[in-house]
Amino acid sequence: MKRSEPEGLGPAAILVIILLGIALSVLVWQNLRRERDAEVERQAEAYAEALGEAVSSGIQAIVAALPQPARRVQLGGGASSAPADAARWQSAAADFLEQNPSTLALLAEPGWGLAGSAEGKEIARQVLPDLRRRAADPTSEFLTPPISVSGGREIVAAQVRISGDARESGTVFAVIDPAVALSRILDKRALGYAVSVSAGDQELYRRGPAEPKRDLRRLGRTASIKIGTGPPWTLRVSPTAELEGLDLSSLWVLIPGLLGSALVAAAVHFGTLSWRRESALRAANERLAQQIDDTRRGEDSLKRLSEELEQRVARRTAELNETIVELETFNYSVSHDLRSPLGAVINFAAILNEDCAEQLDSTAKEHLNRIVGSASAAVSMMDALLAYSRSGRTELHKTHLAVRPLVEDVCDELSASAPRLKCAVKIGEMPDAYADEKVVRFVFSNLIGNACKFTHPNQEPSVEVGGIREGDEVVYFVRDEGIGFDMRFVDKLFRVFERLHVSQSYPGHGVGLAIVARLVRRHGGRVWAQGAVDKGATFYFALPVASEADGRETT
Amino acid sequence: MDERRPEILLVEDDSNDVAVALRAFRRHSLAERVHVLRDGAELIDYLLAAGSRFRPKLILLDLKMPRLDGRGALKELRRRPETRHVPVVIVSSSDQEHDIRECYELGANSFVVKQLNPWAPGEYLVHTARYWLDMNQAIH
Repeated sequence: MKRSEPEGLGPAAILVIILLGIALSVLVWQNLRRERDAEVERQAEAYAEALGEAVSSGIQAIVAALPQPARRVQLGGGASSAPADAARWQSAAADFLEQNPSTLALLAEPGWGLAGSAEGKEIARQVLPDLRRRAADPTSEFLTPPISVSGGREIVAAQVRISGDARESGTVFAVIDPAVALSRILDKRALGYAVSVSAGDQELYRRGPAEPKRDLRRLGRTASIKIGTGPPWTLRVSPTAELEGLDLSSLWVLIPGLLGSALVAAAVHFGTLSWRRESALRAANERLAQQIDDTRRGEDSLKRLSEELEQRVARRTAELNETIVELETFNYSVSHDLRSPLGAVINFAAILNEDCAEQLDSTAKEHLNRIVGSASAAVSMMDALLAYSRSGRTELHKTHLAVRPLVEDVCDELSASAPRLKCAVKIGEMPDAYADEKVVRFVFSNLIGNACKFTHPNQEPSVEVGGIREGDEVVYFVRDEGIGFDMRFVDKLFRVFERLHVSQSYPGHGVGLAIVARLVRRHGGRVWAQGAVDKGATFYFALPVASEADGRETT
Repeated sequence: MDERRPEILLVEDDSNDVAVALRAFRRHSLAERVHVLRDGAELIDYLLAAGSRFRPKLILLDLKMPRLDGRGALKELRRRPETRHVPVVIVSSSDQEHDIRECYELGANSFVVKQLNPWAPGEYLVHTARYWLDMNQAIH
């Protein structure tokens, strides 16, 4: 029976599993990203606050440091003359500017002059008059918001007192480049983040990409820094892609999701396939077991049926045997019991004929003779019937039998009892038999007797007897050159009271061959005949050779 | 021995057979020495009545008879000491080997099958009787 191969998941189911896997990994990914974002935001906020303070204190530190060279000049001691102080100022300012690159120019207001780079000095000359003018008190301290100067630069200007009493010590004015200052403060801080500082619209410092990716930009945080008198500066800290783990695009998330869900789908597919195959196998096994059961049940019922049949056959055989026995008994008792009254008929007819011979005429005597003759015929038929009946009932005692001397003996007996048959029998090859001696004797006696009897008038009987071993049988034959028979009626030869020749010429009852056939068959043998009218007849009988079991029984 | 005592006891229930037998015996002047009994019971009664000194020379005993049959009668004869050695010839229509064997085993001295001879009816009984009367030496 052909069965379809079990299938795993269909393409739709696989697709669904993959999509579910992707959705799940996206969800997980989003969750992870949310957590990361929160972490980044927290860090950005912390950085913003810390850097804001750093900027605030860094700028304050720069401003606070501005009086240092002027103080060195004042505290330097020695001859205090204006030219000498100016020279010393220039030297101290130069040192200071070298150490503080964010300061571009310095001006001490005891009148020691302007120090700084050429560019710084130029910027100072640009901005100073305006700042002086706006200041109510020339000695006041200030820190300006960023100012645009020539060259596109943004600077802040600061003025601080040299010491506590400005009337005595004067002030220091400085031009400061906030970009440099902020760079020194911020450059090594919050790596991985973009940091920018702006005052109003003016951007003073920037590190990192100007435009961080959109999803990173929203994570940025700002801090407001109060510097000097102007509006507060704004410091912004934004994460950049350099930040480890931040550059996870959705595509990179999809690949493991896709792979994972494909793996899951494959696992489910093959799992399902194997499960279904196993199920199919189990189902097939169950069907097979069922079929085996059915077959066994069928065999059982067949066996029962055959046992029933055997029992029925045995019963019928027993019934049949019983019937046969009954028939035989009936046959025997009828033959036997009829014999007695018939015997009386014969006896008294004979007695009448003898004792009253003088009172009877020849016709009466003739009638009496007919009575005696018929009754005698009936009696001898009954004797034949009795013999036939007995042939079916007598026990057979099989022995290993030397047949040749037995046949010789039979021939002697026949010649003695009926010398007129002038029996001349030629005995050929004569194998031994395994049979009942009486039966073999009877069979040969009957067949040879017949062969001698059924001859043409005035013909010398010529009989040939022989035998040959053929396979599991020994086949014997008795052949004559007598009157033969018509093969059309060969079957009648072996039936009771069937005769093929008129009884006047050849006396007999037609029972002898029937008894022969019966006895041979009871031996498990066969009997048959061949012949033609006036061409003689050959009677065969075959007896089975001794089986090994038979051989053991007799030894 | 009492002269009137029969020498042959013929035990036979079939009157035809008895008639044929008696005719044959008569023809040989033996009828006077034969006494006929109809079955085994009659035989035993007759022997009892005859006394223990009675020794017939021959009992011709049929097998199939009413009341006590030939076998029963034979057993009884052989059981009684005074008839143990009386010659008993079974005369039966049966020539069955098992019948013959059984009778010999019960102590029969001979077994004769009833013969049908239209030329000399019952003659075989005369022949049989002759032997037992004239030739046989019995124990008295």
